[in-house]
Parts: sequence; C-alpha cells; structure tokens
Amino acid sequence: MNGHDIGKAIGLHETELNRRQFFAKNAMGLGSAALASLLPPELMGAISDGSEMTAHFPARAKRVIYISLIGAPSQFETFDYKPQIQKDFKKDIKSFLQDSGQRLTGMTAKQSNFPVARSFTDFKQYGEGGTWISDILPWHGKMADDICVIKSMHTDAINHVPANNMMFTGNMIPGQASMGSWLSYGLGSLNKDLPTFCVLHAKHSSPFSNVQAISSKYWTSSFLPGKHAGIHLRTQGNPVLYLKDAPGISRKIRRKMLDGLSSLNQETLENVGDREIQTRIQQYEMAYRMQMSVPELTDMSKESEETYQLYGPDSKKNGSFAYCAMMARRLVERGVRFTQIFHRGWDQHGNLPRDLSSQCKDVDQPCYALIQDLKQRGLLDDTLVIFAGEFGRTVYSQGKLSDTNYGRDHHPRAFSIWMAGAGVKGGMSYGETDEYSFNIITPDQKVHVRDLHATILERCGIDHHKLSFRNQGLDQKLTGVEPSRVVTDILDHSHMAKH
Amino acid sequence: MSSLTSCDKQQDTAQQNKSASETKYPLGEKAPDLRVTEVSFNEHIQPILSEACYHCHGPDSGSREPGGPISKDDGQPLRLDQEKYAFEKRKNGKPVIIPGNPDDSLLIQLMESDDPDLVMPLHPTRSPHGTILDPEKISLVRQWIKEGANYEPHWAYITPKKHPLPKVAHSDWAKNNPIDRFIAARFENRGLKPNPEENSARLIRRLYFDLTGLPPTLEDLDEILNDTRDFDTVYGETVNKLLKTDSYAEHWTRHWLDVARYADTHGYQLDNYRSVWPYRDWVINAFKNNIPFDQFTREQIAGDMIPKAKIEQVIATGFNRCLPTNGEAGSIEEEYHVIYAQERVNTTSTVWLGLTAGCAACHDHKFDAISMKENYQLTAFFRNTPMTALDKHASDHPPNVRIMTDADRSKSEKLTLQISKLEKQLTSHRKKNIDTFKKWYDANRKDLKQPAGKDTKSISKLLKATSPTSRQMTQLRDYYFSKINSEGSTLSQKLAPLRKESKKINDRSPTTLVMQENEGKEAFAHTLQRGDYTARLERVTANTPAMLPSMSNLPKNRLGLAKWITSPENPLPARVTVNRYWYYIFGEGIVSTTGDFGVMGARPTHPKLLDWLAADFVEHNWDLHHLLRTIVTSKTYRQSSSISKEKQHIDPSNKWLARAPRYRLDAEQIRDMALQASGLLHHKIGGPPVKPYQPKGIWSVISMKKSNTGLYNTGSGGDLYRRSLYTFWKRTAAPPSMEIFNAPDRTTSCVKREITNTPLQAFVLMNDTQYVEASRNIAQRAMQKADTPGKIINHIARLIISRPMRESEIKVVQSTYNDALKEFTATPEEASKLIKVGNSDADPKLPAAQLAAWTIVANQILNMDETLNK
Repeated sequence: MNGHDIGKAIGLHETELNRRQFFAKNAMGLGSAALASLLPPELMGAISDGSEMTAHFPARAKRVIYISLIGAPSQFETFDYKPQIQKDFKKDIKSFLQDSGQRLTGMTAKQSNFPVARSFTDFKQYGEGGTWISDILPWHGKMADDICVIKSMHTDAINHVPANNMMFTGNMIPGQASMGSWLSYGLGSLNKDLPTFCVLHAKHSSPFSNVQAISSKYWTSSFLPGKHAGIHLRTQGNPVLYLKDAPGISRKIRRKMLDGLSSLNQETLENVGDREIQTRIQQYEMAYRMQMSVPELTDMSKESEETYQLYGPDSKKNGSFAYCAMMARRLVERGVRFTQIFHRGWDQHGNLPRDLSSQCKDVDQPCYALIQDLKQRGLLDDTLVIFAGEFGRTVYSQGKLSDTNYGRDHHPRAFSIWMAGAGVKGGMSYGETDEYSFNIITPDQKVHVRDLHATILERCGIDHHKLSFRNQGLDQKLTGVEPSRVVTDILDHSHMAKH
Repeated sequence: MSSLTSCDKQQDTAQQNKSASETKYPLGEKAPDLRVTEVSFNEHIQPILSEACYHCHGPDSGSREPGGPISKDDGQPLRLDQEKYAFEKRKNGKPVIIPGNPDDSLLIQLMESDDPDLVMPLHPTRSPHGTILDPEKISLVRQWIKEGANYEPHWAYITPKKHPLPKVAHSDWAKNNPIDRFIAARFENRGLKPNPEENSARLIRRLYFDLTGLPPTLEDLDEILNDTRDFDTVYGETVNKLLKTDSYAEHWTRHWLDVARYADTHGYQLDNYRSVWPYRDWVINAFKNNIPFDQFTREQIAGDMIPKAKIEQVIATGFNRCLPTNGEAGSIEEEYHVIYAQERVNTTSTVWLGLTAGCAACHDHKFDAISMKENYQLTAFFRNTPMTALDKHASDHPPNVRIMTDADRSKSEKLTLQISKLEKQLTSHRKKNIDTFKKWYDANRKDLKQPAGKDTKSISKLLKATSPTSRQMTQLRDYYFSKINSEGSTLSQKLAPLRKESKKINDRSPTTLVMQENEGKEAFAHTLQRGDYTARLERVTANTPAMLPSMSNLPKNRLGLAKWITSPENPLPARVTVNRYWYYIFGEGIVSTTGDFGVMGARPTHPKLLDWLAADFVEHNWDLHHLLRTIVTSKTYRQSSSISKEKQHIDPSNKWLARAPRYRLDAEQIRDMALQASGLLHHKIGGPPVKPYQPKGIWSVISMKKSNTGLYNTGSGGDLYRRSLYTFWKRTAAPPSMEIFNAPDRTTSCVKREITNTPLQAFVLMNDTQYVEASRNIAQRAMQKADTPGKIINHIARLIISRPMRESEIKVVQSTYNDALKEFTATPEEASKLIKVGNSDADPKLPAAQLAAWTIVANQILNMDETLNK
C-alpha cells in the first residue's frame, strides 16, 4: 500500500498527506517511519507488518539517551591525557596563543600571562582497548570497553548559550528544532501511552559549582509539529505538568466526566464534520492513559535493591543524577525514543580540582550503572548513549594558578565525549589532540558537532541529508547547510539491529 | 561560526516537497478547470523555473553554474531568473530562449532531452539533487516561449491595484462586499456553493473572539439576539462597537506582541527581568486610538528620530529592543552586535516585507534577489547606535527613557535644577574650604573629637589609617562636609530631602528600553564571510535592496528606512499586513507563508483579492478598523463552519472558503474566556506584568542562582485574573499553560502560530488551578441565577459556548452531574476540597456537594471541542 492509498483508507488531511507523499517520494524508506509517527499505533499495526519500519538505513538504535553536561567539563581531567602539561606546569604560553589565532573569551583575554595548568588528577589505561581515563572517574574505568571516547570533538561557539544551541539544535542562534524532536519527527512513537521525547533535569550535588542556565530552547520542536517537543518529566511535584487530577476529583469522576465529554464531542463531530474533533477525543483518552502510565513510570518502588546499589547511594534521592539515570532506563524500557538528561555545574573557571571532582562523583557510578543495566536487560544493543558537554576547556589557567588550585576557560577547538551502545565500538579512543589539547592533530578524525548529529541520526537509520522540514520558505535540517559526515570509523557495521 | 540561518544549498527535497503540494491536487479535490489559454510567467512559469533551474541559474552568484557550452563568451554563467540575463547570447551565438521559437530554444531542447547526460535539470543519476521534470511542465514552458517568453516581475513586487470585481453566479450572495465576489469566483469554478450563515449566537461568539479575544457576556448576547431590527444592522453596529473597546485594543496588541517577540526577560543566561512593558502599553494605546498602520510602523522603527519626537514616539521604538540580548560575562561585543543587527533585519523584513533576508547573511539569496551585500546594507540601519551589545543583565539596559506623569515630570525637572544648583554650591564650597578639612583631619587623626554618632566608629578607623587610600580620603571629606563643616552640613541637609523626593519619583516612574541613533554618524556595516563576525569583507553603508523601489532622497538611516517601508511605492507592507490580518481572522493567509512573499514562498490562493485588500487598505489611510470591518462583515466570514461530506471531499483544507474555517482558539483566548465566563476577569489595562497561578518549580529548575527571575512569586488579588497578555513572560521558561497551547516562545518574531492538539492541553484545562477555579465560579454563577438543573446547564453553556444546549446534550451533562453529585454527597470532604481550589471563595450559601458536581459539569463544558474552537 503506498502513502496515497493509506491516506485514502483513513481519510487524512491534505497537508499531512502531502508530507507523506513527500516522504514516500524523496526520503525512500523514511516514508513509512514518519507515517508511523502520524498514525495511531493501532492503525499503524493494521497497515504495517513491521518490516516497513525501516528508514534510510537499517536502524541500529531504536532509542537514544543523551547525557548533557551543561557548562562543559574539562577534557584534561577526564579523558584527554596530556603528560606534557605536567612538565610545562606554569609555563606562560602567551605567544603560543597569539600564534594560534584562537579568540579568547572576555574572561581571560585581558590576562597578562597564560600559565599552563597541570592536571590535579592522574590517568590510567583501562580495558582491552587501553582507554586512558582519569582517576576521578573510577567507574568509567570499569566500563572502558563499553564506551568509545572521542577526543577530537570541536564546535564553533565559545560561550555557553550559543554552544548549547549548537549542540542541541544544530545552530548557535536560537529558534531551530532540537535533536530529540527531529528524531521524534523522523521515527515516531513506540509507546502509545508516553511521549516520544522526554527531558530530565538532574540536580548537581555541589553547592559551589558554577551553574549555567538551561532553556526549553534546547528541547523545543520549534517549527516541527508541537507534539515532537521534549516533554519535561519533572523530578519534583507532578512529573508531567497538570497531570494529577485536581483535589477532590476521583478517578471515577474523571472517567465519568471524560465519558460525557466524549459523547458531547462525538455529537459535535456528527453535526460539524470536522475530523480534528476525532483527534481531540483521542487525545483526551491519551491524557487519561498518561494519568496512569506516568505515575507507573515514576513509581520506582518496584526497583530491586540490587538496582539501587548498582546506581549508587544517590539513586534514592529524587532528582539526583543517579535517579535520572535510572529513570532514563525506565523510559528506554517503555519505548521512549529520545531521553535527554541535563546535568548542570560543569563550568570550572576556578576551583576546578574541588568542583570537577564533585561533578564527576555525581555522574560516574550512575553512568556505569546505566550502561550495565541496559546491557543486562538486553537494551544496550539498540540503545545509543551519548555523554557530552558543549565545548572543551583551556590548557592555561584562568585566574590565579597555585600548586593545588586553578580554573580553565572555554575552548572550542577540542573536547572529549563518549558514546556507547547501538553498535558504537567499545574500548575505542578516536582522534588525538596536540600536547596541549589545543588543536586536533588527526585531521581526518575531527568530529564537529554536526558530524555527531549526523552519526546519531545514522544510528537511528536516518540520512541527515534527507531529514528535513520546510519552514517559512527554508528547508530546515538538524545538520544545517555546512558539510557534515557520519563518523563511520567508530561504528560497528557487522550486524543489523533486530526489529 | 556557522551560518546564521539555515538555508539549504540542496533544494532537492524542498522543491519536490513543493511540487507535491502544488502540482498534485489533494486527495479527492478535483483538479480545477484551469486549461491555460495564455501562459503567465508569474502564475505558471516562475514556479517551474524556480524549482528546476534557479538553484544553479538563479540569484545566488556563489552557486551559479557556467553550464559549459551555454556560458557566455566571457565565461559568465547562465542566469534565468531575470529577463535581462535570460536572453543573452551564449557561446554558440544564440540565447537559450528564443521567443516565439521553442524548437530552436536550447532550454526546451535540454528539458526534453532523453539523454541522462544532457537533460536539464540534472538527471537524478548525475546529481543527488537531480530531478525529472513533468512533461506537463515542459509543455507549459514550451507554450510560454511560443507566446513570446514574456517575463514579469515576481508577483509580490508589482504594486497592488484594485482589479475589476469578477462576475459571479452567486451575485446576490456577493452583492455587498468585494471580498465575497473574489471568493465566490474561485469556489464556483470548483463546483462549490457557500455555506448558509452561521447560527446567530455562534456567529456573535466568533465575532467577539476575533475582534476582542473574549466571548460575549450574557448581557451582550441577549441584547444582540433580542434586538428585533434587521440582523445585518445589529451585526454592523456590534462590529463598530467592538472595534472601539479596550478589549479590542488588548486583543490586537497580543497578536502584535508575537510579531514584536515581546517578553519581560532578556532571554540569555541569567534571563533577568527587563522593563519594556511601557512599550506594550504604547501598542495598546495605538490600537485603542486606531492610529494608521503606516504611522504605527514608522513610530516603532524610528519614533526616536522623528523631529521633536514626543516621549510616546520614543517609547514606540521598544519594538527593536524586544529582541533577546546577552549579558554573559566573557561574551564578545562585536559578535553580539552582528547577531542583533541581523535579528532586527530578519524581524523587520519578515514583518513588513515578507522577505527571508536572513538567508543572505551567508550567501546571496538562492531564490530572491537579495545579495549578501544588500543584507549587510540592511543591518547597517540598526548598527548606528550607542547601545552596548552586552546588557549587564540590567532591567534598564540603555538607551532607555523614564516615564512620568506630567505632574511628576515637572516636579522632577524642578528638583533636578534645585539639586544641581545645591550640588554646585557644595562643590565650590568644598574646594574653597579644603584647608579647613585638612586642619580638622590633622587635629582628629589620633582621636575623633566629636560626640558619638552612628558613623563615629568607622570614621575613627579611617582617621587612624596610616596610609589612607584616595577612596578613604574621599569618604572622610564627604563626612566632614556633610556633618562637621557648618555651611557644608547646611547645604547637605537641604540636599537630602530633595534627593529623597527625586528618588521617590524615579522609583514610581518605570523605565522602558528604546532605540537611539549615533548623532551625525553614517550608518554602516561590513559584509561578513558566511556571517562570521571575525571575517569582515567590504564596508557597506545603509541601503535597501535594489529589487524594491529605491530610497531615492530619503536619509540613509532608520528614519529613512521607516519612511521607505511605508511609502506608497513599496508593494510589500500593505500586502503582507492585510494578509496577516486575513490569517488572524481565517486561520490561514491568502499567502499561507505569512512571513515569506518571496519566490519560494507560497503563492496567493486569491491574488486579486489580496491586491484589492492591500490597495483598499492604503486608500483608506492604512485604517485597521476599516480593514477588519470589511473582512468581518463579508458573507464569506459569516458562513457556518460545518463541513459537508461533499465539501470535505472537494476542498478538505478549505482553501476556497465555501465554509467558514474552524480551528482552535489561541492560548490567551482560551484562558481569557475562562476568566470572562467565570466573572473572575479583572479588567485593568496596562501596567507591569503579573504572575497568575503557575505550577511550582517552573522557573527555579532552569534558572541560575543569581537570576532575579529564579523564583516565581505568584501574585494575589486581581493579578491572578488579568488578561493573559499581561502575564509575565520569562523567555527561558514561558508560562507553561500558554506554551502548551502553542503560544510562541517569543525568541524570534512569530507571524504564524502553530495549532496542535495534544494530551497536555487536556491536562491544563482539567487540572490547572486557573481552570478548576474558573469552572467552580462558572458553576456558582449559574447556581445563583438559575434554579432547575436544566436552567443551570444552559446558563453554564451560554457563558462558555454562547448557546443553550440541545436536548441530547443536556441528557449527557445531566448524567455527569448526577454521577458526580452522588459521589460528592457520599464524600463531602472531597467536595469541599474541590470547591476550595483557587484564591476566590466559594459561595457558602450553596450546598458543597452540588457546587462541586456543577463544577465538574462546568469543567466538562469548558473542555468541549466546540468551546475550544471558533
């Protein structure tokens, strides 16, 4: 059955049909996947045997968990081991910086000297791949062979807001659709009772960390249809805003009220003939189901003690990173396509040894736990996990450099992230930087933010050139107009995902 | 830095998308009888060329292709978008288009070629963006060349004029209003007939929502429906009455705030409070006084530069201060100057010109004739300002003005004079008597010989400092001349109350952000390679794009720009504006891309109607009342919105308007409706933004500690029930109940809202305190006025949907009531919880279980699809 016939069969509106024709015609297989997102799942079942759920490529990832470290962690104390900086401790690299042409932020541009800050922490090699990992991430050491560390990330932006816009929407200027909403738009839903794109805000535990604001721009659907926007599942109060019935309203009364409402709307539908009324009736039913499914989702009481132990002592504190990591796994289990955890406090302009240690402590064990938990449940094979900040940090110290204390300024030319699951090669390190982690010295292994986006889309079976949406006369894409590539070197193509 | 706007190099998908929506008729919609007797460039050929050819042979010099044998002798690539280039001789001695002779025209030969290596546009095997052109399209091009290959300027750049009204079969239906003639002409040839007029009560509700954003009160409704005069007369009078109300001004201000991307915070990082609401109040006043739209435009773009500008005209320039600004430490000023100027160009060109100028930030526009240079010439208009790029998170980030009452202003002026006079005296006194200070200083260094006072301790400490800093010395001098020296202290004592009074006046007089021009300086900018602020190319001065009428003698500054935009020669602003108004009323523009009238924008469904409305608008001195009156008194507007099977089949998207559109109300209309129906609405116009109910943690969870909008302190009293346009708008966490109903985030100018239909909307209407409280007050009003269940139900229904319920509906609602009453009677504590929701008190005289049960009913009706739709 082609898109046209399906449309006829279920009486789709003109605009939706055109979108579908477009997909069917231009995006090859994506037509059916995008179609799936627009149809009620029960209808989709009627017209698809599942084999049509293929996109541009065979999808390795059915779901994505994106861990966003807002503020930008330093690569020098996490994944990019630089012995030379221990030797060059306190060396002034002013002339090196001038020669590099790199612009500096207003925070350090006026410094009279730029002394190299050594890393306060040591590194060791872990796993069969011998991945270098810092001592403040001991749990990461244990999962070195599960993750692929990319040390050659780079971006265009040098300040937080534009860099995060870049990271989450593909453009430094606000107003573009977010990565999660693109995936929701391209892939559709796997669970009729929950949203396709969920956002979690994890609290950071140190009161001293420098905290950057985040905004709903990072999970907006912007010009994409609104149902693709990230739904912020709150970790305090109602997990979904206004979800809980008002005081005094029992489930029984809610059901009666909705039954009556449905009859009234049905009558309007018969009188007026507007098919959008049918959608509204369905959405009220979805709301009623979410009133059940969301509390079930957020009720962690049935998690085993072993699981809590795996995620660590913080996992019982609502809103902690460990809690959010466990919640992410629960969302993944329930078929949520894109889960994004925001963890703030990674902006160490000063007091880096104290604050970075505490930030790492927040996430280290829970990340390990998440990967192991997914693995144990057979979910890691088709779940992609990304762990990343928005840029890197400078080799030189911001402010006063002492033997034990220092800070690092923003640096866009090189930073480190890791990816895991969905056929990303574990135990691998990709890309190298120079001795100051200033420039990437493996030119064919540079990974721009756009390349990361292209790679995430590829894992989900989507060709980044083809996932587009027309808005105000422009053909919008997550990866924008600059060239971008899928980082195939880090991907395992040996077997396809199960469908 | 990457591109500022994401425009696509690879237009393949866009074009196919476009072809899918423009050349295929939607399912079931009959292809109209549009046999082409004479091919028009604008109607038939330009869409084909822009889709198939312009990417490589269009306005963008960067991607233009030489086309090998068809390049010119000098190697100039082929360009097809403009007449003057399309007929140039190529290397083979012939132009690619030979008017009258399609067979000899290389264009046709290449389009018709079977050879995949030769065919144009590029065959899909040769380019991932390749495409195969429809034979029908090729034959249109063929016919066009045969008929002389006449080029026309892009339709939107031709000055609109009033075309003769078309003759129509429904002449009686369309006799009073030109709109109806144009509309009938288009639906008739598709075999459609207009819907009958909407039921009067429903029609009045629609009219009230469209003009005032509120439903009619029961009093208004009864007065109109019981009026025995001719309904057309009553309807016409109602329109005139509504146009003069404050609610009208507030409603249309709310539309404009989307356009102006108005918000109460800066939008970046700390996202602190910004005081620009006096600009919002200026807009309300402008609509209240129905100032002509051209004046409205000029004052917002350059009110500060109008000779002898009044303070109101300066306040109006807040329009260009509503953009998000950054104060993040370490940000680079120049980068933000570039971003802001580009943002203002994008906004101005979207709002008034229907142009996507932002595309030309990185490269020449692919489809519209705006070069990169011209884009930066436009940015120059906005760069000639003393405004700093970084806002320091200050609510009054200069330039700003302080707004005072006349009495305060004259008081303040007097005070300023007095203060400055006294300050001068004091300064000169201090200078003259510096020796007495020195004496006192030396005499008191060891021990302060003064009676103990509150400063004694700190002053003693300062006196004892062995090597005092200059700051410490200043402190001591200040102390001496205000407390010790007798004339100095007399002067200081005189000054203190004046300063206090002046501060008091300032504190009660709000500031608002405004524009300011660098006096006597030329407005300029640099073209930037791919929009990168560090990659400057040439210096350019302010100017407007060459494809539009020139600025001629107008000054090359913002005032000149404002005058140029509203000059009668400019074909765009009137069209773009009437189209946006049409969209506000009908839910879809005549041009559906309300912000893009360029070559790649949608084409008008009713081009002659659009031209007529635009010309009529300008003829009537840009009078918005006249425009709205013309639209809402048309038969087209007054039709019923029901959709017959036949119409669903022939015109599923209601492009031809043989029925009134039916679509969901905006977020603000829904909330304001609940407030009005419940009687809670607090009618107060203007003033600082207010904070109605909002769930806990919306602000705090995303804010920085230092932000002054980190904690949401819910307002009290009337502030909970003001119209929604007054709700505090924090950019990084917009009011959630508004956002869920598609209120835009106010980051960028919004000329068209999305309409979604989601479960989250159900949650808001069922459970948000605002709606639960409103439901109870609606129930309460009905119980106070009516005694039987039937009457109560109809009272509730009339408050919300402006009509009594049908028997069948009453049965459903009554059954909900009965079930709820049974349960609430059994669980009185639950009933009491429900009726306590919100700050307003429940009427203690009403039985709690009944009130609770009617609250459920009121909420049920509030959630009806009919309630939420126009």
